[in-house]
Amino acid sequence: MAKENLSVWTSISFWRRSAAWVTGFATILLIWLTFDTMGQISMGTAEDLQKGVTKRVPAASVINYHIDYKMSDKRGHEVPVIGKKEPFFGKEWSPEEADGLLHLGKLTSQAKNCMNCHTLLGNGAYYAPDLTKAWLDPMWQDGGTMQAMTGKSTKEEAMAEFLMHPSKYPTHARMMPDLKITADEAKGLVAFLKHMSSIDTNGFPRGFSKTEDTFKTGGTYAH
Amino acid sequence: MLTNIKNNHLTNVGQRIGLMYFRVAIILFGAQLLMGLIAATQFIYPSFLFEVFDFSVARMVHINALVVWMLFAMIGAVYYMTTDETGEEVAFAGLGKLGFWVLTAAIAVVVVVYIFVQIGPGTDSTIWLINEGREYIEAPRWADYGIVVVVLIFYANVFFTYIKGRRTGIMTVMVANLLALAGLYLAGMFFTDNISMDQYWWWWVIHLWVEATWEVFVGTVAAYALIKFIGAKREIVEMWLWIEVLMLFGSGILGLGHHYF
Repeated sequence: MAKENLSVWTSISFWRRSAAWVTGFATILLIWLTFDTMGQISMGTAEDLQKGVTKRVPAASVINYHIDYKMSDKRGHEVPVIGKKEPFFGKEWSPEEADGLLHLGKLTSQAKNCMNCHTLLGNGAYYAPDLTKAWLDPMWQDGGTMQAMTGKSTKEEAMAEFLMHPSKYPTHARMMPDLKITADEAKGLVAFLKHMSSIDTNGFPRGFSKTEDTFKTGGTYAH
Repeated sequence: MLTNIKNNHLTNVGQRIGLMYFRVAIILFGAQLLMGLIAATQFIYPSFLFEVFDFSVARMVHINALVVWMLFAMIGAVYYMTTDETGEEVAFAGLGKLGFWVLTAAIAVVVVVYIFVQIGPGTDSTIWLINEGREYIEAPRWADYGIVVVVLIFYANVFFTYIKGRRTGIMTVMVANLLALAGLYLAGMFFTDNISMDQYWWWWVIHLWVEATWEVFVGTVAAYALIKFIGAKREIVEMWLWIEVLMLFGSGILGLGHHYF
């Protein structure tokens, strides 16, 4: 072919090689970034919590601590703040017990297909509320609507009661169906939700504190 | 080619296996529409089929039918074009047909369980037998392994046909891309208590499928179709296909990062 070397821009082999190099480079960069991410999002340990070492994803025993969500001026968004110890379902859970409870909760969240209505860390169906920071939602706190409705005196008991009999406590035209969640599974789910609320999500969901006022007046995410 | 399809005069096995996949893809597309209509109705009347066939179930079948009809259509398209591109008959035709029936039967069982069993207790057996509860890749773990086996059969068929026959640029992209597409599925086949880790690898499957390997796949099929339908010059089409690979993989692989907070 006489015209073969007319221009590099119309050369198949040039583009083939370029495609291979660019794909290879992107892949290597992704693998390197993945190693970095694995370090950042691996779960902390119970000792980290005792020593006050901040991890993006704390150990399951974070369920034994008070979790707050505070604006950080330095980072420009809210960050979880792990505070003093507080009882969870009336007791302190050993690291092994806490791991077991979180395991049951995570497994149950998948077995009950939560994500095909709710969203977790922003992922899911957007039919029902995002659960990333559900534990921090004022409606479950002292004096909140859900404690009054379920007749329970702690956040975790109110949540567990709701999870076991959701259609008894309609909060919205879109109700949560009864998913035959047992008392143990409900405890696990609440531990899972509390643990998720302690994850540093770089401020997701944005403007959570601003919507607190909406919650207090009875509003929900589900619009 | 169109006349061939209309008259059903497909003489080679690859194209006939392709049509088997297309028929199932069309049925699954119908299932996607039906489930979508149920879910849409529930948006307007939230009490519609409440605690009988909830939104979560309708949506799960809806999005899974979507994923599976696309995969069926893709596998069908590859079988269809491989014989034509390589000039060789499918390497293991019998296995290819067996793979089709195994995959179709497995999908049918998964869907029946989704619809009638729906959910299970918070135990490993639910993840293995009923559903995995992870958006788009809800298929229970037994089906994951089944899919891997069938996809290996499919891949072997394409690969050995490619090796034997004409190695066109289109088939080279196809063979390399399919390996990545199939391999990425493995990133979604594990359980972890750490929801951040869970979602990190979940995006490897979902993002790197949709925004990298599936897009390149469409480019490959489009390249084949341009040559077949309008008689485009192969040299020009293949040059642009490589440029597409460069742009899609170059941006798509690193674009994974935009999902992470």
